[in-house]
Amino acid sequence: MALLHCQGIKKHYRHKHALHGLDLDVKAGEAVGLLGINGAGKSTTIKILLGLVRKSAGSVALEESQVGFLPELARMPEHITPRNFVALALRIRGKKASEADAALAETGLGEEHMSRHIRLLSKGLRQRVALAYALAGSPRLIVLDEPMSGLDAIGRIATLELLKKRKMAGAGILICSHIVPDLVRLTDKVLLIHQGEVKQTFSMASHDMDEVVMLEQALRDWSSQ
Amino acid sequence: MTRIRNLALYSFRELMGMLVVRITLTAAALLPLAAWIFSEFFLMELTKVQLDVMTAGSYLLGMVLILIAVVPMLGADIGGRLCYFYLVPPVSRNEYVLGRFLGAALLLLLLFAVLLAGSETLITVALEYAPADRRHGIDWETGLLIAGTACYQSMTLLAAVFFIAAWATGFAELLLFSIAACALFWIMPPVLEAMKNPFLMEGVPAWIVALVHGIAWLLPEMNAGQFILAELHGQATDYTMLLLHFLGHLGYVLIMLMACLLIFARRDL
Amino acid sequence: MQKRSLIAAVFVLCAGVSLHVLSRHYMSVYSATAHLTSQAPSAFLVQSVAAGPAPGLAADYNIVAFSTLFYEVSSRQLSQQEKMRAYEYLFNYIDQAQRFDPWFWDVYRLAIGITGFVPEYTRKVILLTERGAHHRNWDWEPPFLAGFLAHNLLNDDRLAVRLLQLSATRPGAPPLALGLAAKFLAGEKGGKQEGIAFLEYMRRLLPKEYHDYIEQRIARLKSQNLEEH
Repeated sequence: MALLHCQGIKKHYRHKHALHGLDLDVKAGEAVGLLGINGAGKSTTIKILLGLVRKSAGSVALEESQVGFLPELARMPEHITPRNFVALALRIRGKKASEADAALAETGLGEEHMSRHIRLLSKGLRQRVALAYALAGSPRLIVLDEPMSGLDAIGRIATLELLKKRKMAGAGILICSHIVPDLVRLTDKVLLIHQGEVKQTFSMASHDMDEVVMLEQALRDWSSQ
Repeated sequence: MTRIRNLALYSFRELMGMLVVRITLTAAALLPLAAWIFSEFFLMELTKVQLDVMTAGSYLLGMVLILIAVVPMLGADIGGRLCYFYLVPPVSRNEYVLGRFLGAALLLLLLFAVLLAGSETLITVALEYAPADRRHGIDWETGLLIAGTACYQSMTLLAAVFFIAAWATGFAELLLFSIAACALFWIMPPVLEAMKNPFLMEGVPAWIVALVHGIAWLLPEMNAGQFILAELHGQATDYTMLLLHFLGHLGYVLIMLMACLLIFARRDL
Repeated sequence: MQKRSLIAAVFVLCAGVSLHVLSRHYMSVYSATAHLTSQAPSAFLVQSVAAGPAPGLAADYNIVAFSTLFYEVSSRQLSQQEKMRAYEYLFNYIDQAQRFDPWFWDVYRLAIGITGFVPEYTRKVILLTERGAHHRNWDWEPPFLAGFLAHNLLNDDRLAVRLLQLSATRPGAPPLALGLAAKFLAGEKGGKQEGIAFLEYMRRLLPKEYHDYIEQRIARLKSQNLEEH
């Protein structure tokens, strides 16, 4: 069952065509990766899917009413505690706010950080809070834009494990990342976007180094064109 | 509705987390003391002077709170892309705007509750200890009128700031236009009064007069101070005018909020 | 659903515009002190722009400015020219305070007690107080005091009678107001004793800082009395 289905999405700015008819499906229990160089249209695609940017043409169908979203380079609300921040996500998704601590602990945030203002946390800890906000209440569709940004190696591994668990539990994941090995480890298919179009689709079967090399080569090929 | 309430409470909590908000609320709580000290320069109508300070303080603190707390919050939401967190399904853009607005309105209500308590304390002391001729016309209603009018006038400014946020691209733009709105709201009533002065207006071209009147029609009447001044001296409050004044502000809030919703629903974030 | 939301939005927008226009239309004719500001000098207009929606505090500011300047004037040796310039400022402060808050008692107390005794400003102060008497329509004191000044300093008994009669109609007015009005109407001159009594009354009315000024005037009147005897 497709949690997200979009067809022929186009986006024109005044002097620029950002997307040229992009098609995309995310099914339950499936992780889809978006790969591309800077300015390829990955973030714009995500923003259009979530209604943050208006599309010029095409259709987007969100079968799931609850979406967990982690924006790229997320600036965090500074004057609130991680506990209260994540509690909002839970309340919005119809869950109990008391689950906030568990959601934060799941992303590796220590108890001592949960009741301090977010402005006092380091970049990596903030990223964990943002991830907890996206994953809190177990939304069926999870959209992540550069989720590993600012995380240390241990944090990256833990996050990948967490996302795999969610996928196994039936959540659909759409992830956009520059870190190819992460995409290979987590996703079932990767769409290579270049100049606002899906140029190639890769199925990830073995999740090994060969697939990493294949994706990096394709990325190099398209970016040199 | 639940989501709007959740966002409103969250916004209120977020605003309360700001140090500047807590400082402003402390200043509001200490304002009666400042008013009392200032009134020591006067001899007769001390309570009137104290309540003048409370009136001016109410307007100023309301404006300050909007500029130093609400504007940065909205600026971070729009310019810092923080709204991405709040605006994903199931939250609609309308729910987001209304939730944020109600959260900020709750903060203003708290401010005016503090100011009301301060005014009523001064009035209680005056009614208890001041000779009758020094507190002429002052009663419990006066404090309510001061806090009430300052409250709905601040709500109007708040709605105008939300309207600006609907199309502003970032914090700097939002701050600039919000300050401009504050300045216009502040100076327009006296400028209009000045335009009734025949000596002053003698050399002013007709098109400038028309322009100023036109701008004035686009702005709300921020002249509730006139009601309060009359009330402070025991003049019977013209409730019909007061109601009209309130309705005018209610109308302005509706216009600003609706315009904000319509624009915000159609913009790219 | 989309269409219904849009209709609702347009409806609310129209309601808002109607309320705003309705309020603007009627409120535009409302201003308690409009008749005072319409004649105001440009210095007042600058102040009123700064005062914005807090005219009461602007009036208080002018009173504080008056007190500060008066303290300067009375504690320094000034030339006659400097004194006249200072009195001009003092009167302007009072005048502006009245335009902001015509009900404020401190305005009239200081106007009559201080500026009223400067010959160049006596008539202006009396007229200012008469204007104020129409605002403080419950109070017998401003027209009473202004009436006495009109008689005592201007020798204008027609004006004095008008003001004292106005005072006599106010609640709590002393029988003296009507008595004096009758006396002035009959063309009888008020004696210096009455002037001294008036100044004694003003001394009670004014704060300590102004007492020296009033006492000098009382002493001057008393010495004139002695010379006559």
